[in-house]
Order: sequence, then C-alpha cells, then structure tokens
Amino acid sequence: MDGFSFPGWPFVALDFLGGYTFQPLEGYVEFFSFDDSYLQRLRGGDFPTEQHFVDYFGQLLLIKLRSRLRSSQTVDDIRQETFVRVLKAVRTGSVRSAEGLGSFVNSICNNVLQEHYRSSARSVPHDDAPLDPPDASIDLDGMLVAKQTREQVRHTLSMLSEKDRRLLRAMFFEEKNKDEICSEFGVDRDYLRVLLHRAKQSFRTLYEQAEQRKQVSAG
Amino acid sequence: MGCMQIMNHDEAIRLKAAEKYLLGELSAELRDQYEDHYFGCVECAQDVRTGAVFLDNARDVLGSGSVVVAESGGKRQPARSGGWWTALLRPAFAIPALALMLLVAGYQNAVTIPHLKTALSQSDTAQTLPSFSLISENSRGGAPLAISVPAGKPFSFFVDIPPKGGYASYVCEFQTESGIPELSLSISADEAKRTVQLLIPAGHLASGKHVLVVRGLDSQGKPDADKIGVASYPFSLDYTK
Repeated sequence: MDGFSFPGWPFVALDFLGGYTFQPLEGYVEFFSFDDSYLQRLRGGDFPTEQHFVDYFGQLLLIKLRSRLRSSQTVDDIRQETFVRVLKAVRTGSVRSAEGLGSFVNSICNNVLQEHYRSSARSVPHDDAPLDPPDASIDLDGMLVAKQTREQVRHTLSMLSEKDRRLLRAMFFEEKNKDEICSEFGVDRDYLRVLLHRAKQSFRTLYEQAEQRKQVSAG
Repeated sequence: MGCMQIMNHDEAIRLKAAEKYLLGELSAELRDQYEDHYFGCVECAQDVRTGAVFLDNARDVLGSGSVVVAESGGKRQPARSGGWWTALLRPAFAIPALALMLLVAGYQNAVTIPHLKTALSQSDTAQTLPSFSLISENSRGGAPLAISVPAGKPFSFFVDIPPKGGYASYVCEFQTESGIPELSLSISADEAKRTVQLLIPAGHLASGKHVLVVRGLDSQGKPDADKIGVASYPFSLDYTK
C-alpha cells in the first residue's frame, strides 16, 4: 500500500459498535451515468468526477469488504489500494469500456483481497486483532445527516409490528442464530427476507422523499 | 476465481439477492456473482446501499431501545397454580402496585387536574390565536418562514392551495425536516378554492424545522404520483415562555 490518498475522501469511520457504521448516503440519488464521457472525465482527472467515483464505489467496497474483514484499518487499506490501481489503469487507458467499470473495480478489489489473504497467511493474521477503537474525528455535517437518517430509520421501525421489531432486534442487535430466531418466533427464513425487504423499501421511500425535497428547496 | 458465471439483473431480482446478501445467506459463489453484478448495476447498488444503511442504523436504534420494544427472548413464564388473581395479592406485586397507584393519584392531583382546569377555563374565554401566513412563502426560494409562538398555546397558518392538477381533494401534512409525518389533515377541493386556515393544537409540533407538504388526491383518495406534492412550505418554529 503506497499511502495514496484522494482529496475530499468522503468517509468518516464512526466506529460505534466495533465495526463500521455507515454515514448517510449524501447525494446518493444524484445520478451520474457511467458512460464514455464519464470515463473520459475520470481519465482526465476531473475533480468532481473523481469525487463521485470515490464516493460511489467507496461505499460499495465498504459493504463488500466489511462482510469479509474485521479490522477497519485493513478495510481502509484495501479500499485505498483498489482505488489506486483502478485510477492508474483508467489513466493509462487500460480501461476502455465505461460499461465494465463497476465490474473492473470489483475484480481489482478481489485481487487486492487475495493478496491480503496470502500475505496474512504468511504473517500474523491481521483480522484476529482486536476491533479498532472508535474514530475520534467528528464531522458535524455528517452527524447532522446521520441524525436525520436515524430518525427515518426509527420511524420505519415504529411502523412495524412489535413482533417484527423484536425479530429484527434478535437478528441484528442480539445477533442470534437465524434458525433459533425462526423457531422462537415461528417463522421461516423467507419471512426474514420479506421483513427486511419491506423495511428497506419503506426506509428508501422516506429517504428519497427527503432527498428530493432537499434538492427542490436548494433550487 | 476461475470462470465465474454472470448474474444478470432479472436473476438478481428473482433470487432476492439484495436481501440474501445483506443477511449473509448467499453461497460464496452466488455472493461473488452478485457483487460483480451490483458493482455494475446502479439500481441493485442502490438497493444494497439502502439496506446496509438501514441495518446499521436499525442496529443502533433497536439497541438504544428508543423504539418501543417488548422484552426480548419471548420465553413464557410457566403458569402458576391458584389462578391469576392470587398473583395480584402477592406482596411482591401488591406493594409496588400500591405505591404506583399513590404516585398516579399524586400526579393527577398535582399536575393533571390543575392542567385540565386551566384548559377548561381557557376554552370559555376569548383569546388571541397567533396566526402566520404561508401564502407568500414559496418552496423554491427565499429563507423559510421563522415563527415564534407562546409555549402551550395553539396557533394557525393561512395557506393557499395552488390551483393545479384538478385534484378531488388535498392532504396537508406537517413533517419534520427529515420527512417524518407529524400532523395531517384533509382539505376538500371546495375548501381549497379559498385561503385555508390550519389550526395547530398546542404541543403538537416540536420546536425546530418543519415542512408543510400539500398533496393532491384523486377521486379514490389516492395520492398523486408526484412524491414531492403540489406545494411544500418549510418553516422553523420556536416556542417562547
């Protein structure tokens, strides 16, 4: 890892529960199309495009990596290294099709991840290290948006039945075994998926409405 | 990784891949295929990100207990012999219950009853009603209206419903800045032809930023397709002593 860092790195790792907690998706409904012009701008080092690229794929990489790694430092390192390699490839013209950009980012990340596994196997396994301490940095703007998102999630949860809330709590807060939860609540695995789908959709509607209003009032 | 199969969008939807992915229920092979797909599919990527944000925040909210959550576990206590009423007479239940009753009675005497008396006397006397106009407010520019009202008193807004869309009726909904509904009321198309006065009962809106969103409804009472509504009026509210 060569310590390359991007201007305007959009992530603030607020580590509440020992793992990453997502910052709200600022501008996530903002639409950029990944076409040839996007690729050209990225190749030319256009700052807003680079920022969008890092913001968009940074969140996807975070979701992917934290399901495999425990250390937030390792997640950050792999994410940074993935961006370094992808942007280098873009600038040298190795990426020719904008359509395959996402898949390319994912495959580079897979390569970096494999290298990490191999080097970890040779040395002390990093991911057995204790979980990282909370990040001391405070981003007031981010915290305000985080507060709104939490309020939207709270509202979404309050619309669920008590049983469904208890079920989600058992699953995601108490982290109980899913089979145990199913037998305790008398439901099957499909019910869990449908419950998550419904909750996710209502949250998404609420979130997108608030985003649209923000965009309208911003002019 | 060898020769990986490609998952297309329809397959991802059919498999309910986003939910299974977030629940960690996809096999390693399908997980890799889905990741390869959602990195290149804006719609699926948005689905996964929304789900991840929801789950992260839900974990915190459910853990903090700020949503009404019944006790976890769900294990029932074994039934006691002697009927439910004998349990009521047990000291372990009866003493705290008695203490609670005394507390409730004390609270009623000291707070609830005087408050009701005041409210009753207020309803019999003429009084001023702070009123504010949102008529000239526009959702597309200018600073939002900032109002200040005495705490514990009702107040009202004057609003004009924009004459567009030919809706059968309208709903005026007060929301928090982040879109959580607080109060709503229906307005008929006839009422909407004139300036409407909306009365806000005391204590129903917290101080802070709010938005009044007006939505059109069709003849079946269904909302219009436009999620933003026919008008929205942001305002900030402050209470004075």
